[in-house]
Amino acid sequence: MRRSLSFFLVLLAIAGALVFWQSRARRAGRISTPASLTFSALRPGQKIVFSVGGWFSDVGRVMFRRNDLASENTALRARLVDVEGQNLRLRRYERENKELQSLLNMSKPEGGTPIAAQIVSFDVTDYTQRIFINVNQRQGARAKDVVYTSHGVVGQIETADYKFLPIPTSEVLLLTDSRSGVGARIARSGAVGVAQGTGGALCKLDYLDFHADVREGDTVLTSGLVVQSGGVFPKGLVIGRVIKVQRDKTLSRLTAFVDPAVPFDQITSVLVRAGANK
Amino acid sequence: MRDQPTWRIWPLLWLLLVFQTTLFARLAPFGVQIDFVLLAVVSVSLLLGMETGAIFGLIAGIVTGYCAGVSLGSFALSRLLIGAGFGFFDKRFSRDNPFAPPLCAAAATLLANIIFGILSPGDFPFDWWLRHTLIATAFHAILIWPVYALFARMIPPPRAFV
Repeated sequence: MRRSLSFFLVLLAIAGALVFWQSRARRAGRISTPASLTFSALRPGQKIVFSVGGWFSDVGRVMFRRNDLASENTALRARLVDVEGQNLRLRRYERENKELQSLLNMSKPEGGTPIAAQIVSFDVTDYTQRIFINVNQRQGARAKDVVYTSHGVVGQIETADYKFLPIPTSEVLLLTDSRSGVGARIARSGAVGVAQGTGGALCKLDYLDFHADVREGDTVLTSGLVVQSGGVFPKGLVIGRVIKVQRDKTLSRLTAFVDPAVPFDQITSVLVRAGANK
Repeated sequence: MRDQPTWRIWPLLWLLLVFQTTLFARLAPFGVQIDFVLLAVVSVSLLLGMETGAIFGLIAGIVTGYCAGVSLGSFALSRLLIGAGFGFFDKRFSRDNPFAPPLCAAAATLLANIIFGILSPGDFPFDWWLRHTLIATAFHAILIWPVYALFARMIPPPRAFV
């Protein structure tokens, strides 16, 4: 019993030392060596699982949905024609937009350089909402760089300096993580607030004026306003759509719940807006 | 007696972590992610006893904490306590007792969530925590069977030399 107790205390001390090491590294904005080694050990397996999973998924689709493929193909061809038409229209709008912007002498939203990245792994628990992507400092990604897709904002790079990893890796804090906060604006009325992650599937739009014009179905965009220490999101990116509005008359508080535009469980590739936070 | 091949638990832990961070990450019934690594800790402690359970629990907890990026202490402490605590029962339950793994998995899930609730009370709302705990407990009590069966098969009981 005495031996078991001392053994247990030794393990507890090891755990304490590792926790201390990790928290010190985190405070300095780095990843501790044991954490980096852990990711290095897991990364090859994760790559294999993703590629094998994709292959099985393709084979399964061909085997089980063979009969549907012909009709799906026809529908997709029709859709392609439609999308090509839309694309041409959008190009025309873009050209017109550029002309109007130059006429009005408007400055473009500050750019940065987009870097394409693939998602290499997902979060391990429900306590955080993060993804890992295959770019790092060498490709130009930095902490606090904004990550987005064609749907809208995905989140923000938290760490981009993983040592010892066989492939480049950065950690992205999703919009829905409870530590995430983005300056937001209602597209229709211009009301401003802060979109905060809830740790679940939705975001919460807080700090709205009690009389602000917010309705269900409103589109929420990034406002470009600085929030806390990490508010470096450019103006005009889509955050999501308001699905519920709560007015608390006692506290004179207005809160809206936002369904993010990005389907986090379906995306496989993202863009990083690099070099905009220098 | 022939030694048990206990080294096999480490490649299995690696494999579970790889799947936990890839395919299983998308497996979230009712919005609750199934923690197969926690189920592995319970299985190892029931099959191999307190000391191996404690070491396995500590390493699994630390590694899960690194993967999660937050609450490393909560992960390490909860998995260490589960590994050591349920290791006490390895002699009391037969390897083939069908009720021991689900009961221990449910108790381990409750214990892990209570430790999280105590160590990081402000990190999540109580109603979310309660819902998460109840659903995770129910799913873990069911899904422990395949995990336990896998570990029991990979670590056969010690045999006498013939």
